[in-house]
Amino acid sequence: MSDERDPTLQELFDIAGNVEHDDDFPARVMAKIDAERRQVLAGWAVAGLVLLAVGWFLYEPLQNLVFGLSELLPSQLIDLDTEWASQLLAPINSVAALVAVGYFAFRALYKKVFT
Amino acid sequence: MTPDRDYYGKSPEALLVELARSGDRKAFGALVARREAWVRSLMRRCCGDATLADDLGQQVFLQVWSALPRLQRASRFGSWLKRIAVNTWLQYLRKNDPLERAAAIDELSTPKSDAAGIAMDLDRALARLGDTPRLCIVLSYHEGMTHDEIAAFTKLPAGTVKSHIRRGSQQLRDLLSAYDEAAPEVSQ
Repeated sequence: MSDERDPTLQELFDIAGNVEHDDDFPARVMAKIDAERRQVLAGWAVAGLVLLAVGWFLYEPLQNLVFGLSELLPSQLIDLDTEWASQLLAPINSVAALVAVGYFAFRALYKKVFT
Repeated sequence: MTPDRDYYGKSPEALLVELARSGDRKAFGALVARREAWVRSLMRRCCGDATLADDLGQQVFLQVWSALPRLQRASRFGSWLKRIAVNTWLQYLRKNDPLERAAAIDELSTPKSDAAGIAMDLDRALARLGDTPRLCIVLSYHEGMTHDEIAAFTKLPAGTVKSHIRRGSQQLRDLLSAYDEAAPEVSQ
């Protein structure tokens, strides 16, 4: 591939060259970086406060939810009387397994429809 | 000049990049001071507006500061910076109407004899080109990049880059025809 350039245009570009150094430019960039950093810190502080408040107000309901889930998820879908069979089939015969299958099915469907 | 500024000013760029990567703000300031004219010039050639070029230049260095820890090799800083600058310009184009600027351009009648005047005429003429041809022309003439390098940089097919440069050069020649008769003699 030829990379030939028009000599007249090249000359004009060479003469135009670079703009002059601006001694204040680095200070402006650093000031912008500081301002952006302050914004990010303020954002994190607000998010932290919000989380703290949410945690404070929702501590009890969340705790109840976690306890409820920890009881619900391992419960059997089909009642098996034999101890060894219920232990063996626990990974697939539980609410947790149903939730996991539901999640993967939804994800597969979502990918098929939207990609 | 303070000893600090003197030290950073004389340090090799790769060292400044390494220091800036580790969070040394003074080293980053020195890098900005070293590269700002080049970045602003590239932006100026692309957008033809000094104020906008300065704003875009600041955006470039903000991105550089946040992405610097991810730069693998300090020796590649120059081309990495150029890529960020070009991407910043492309992002700007995606968000803004390029025709907005094209209306306010005067005819180029008399050739200028000083570098600033020539730069202004060149920027005006460049502003008449479409966004993609202009970027290709700037990367070719201002940055001295080959067609293949431009194709890799802009992710355009090499043939497209070539035709943008050929047609863009012709258009620029027509717009700057006043300079054909009077070969530019520059007073800096």
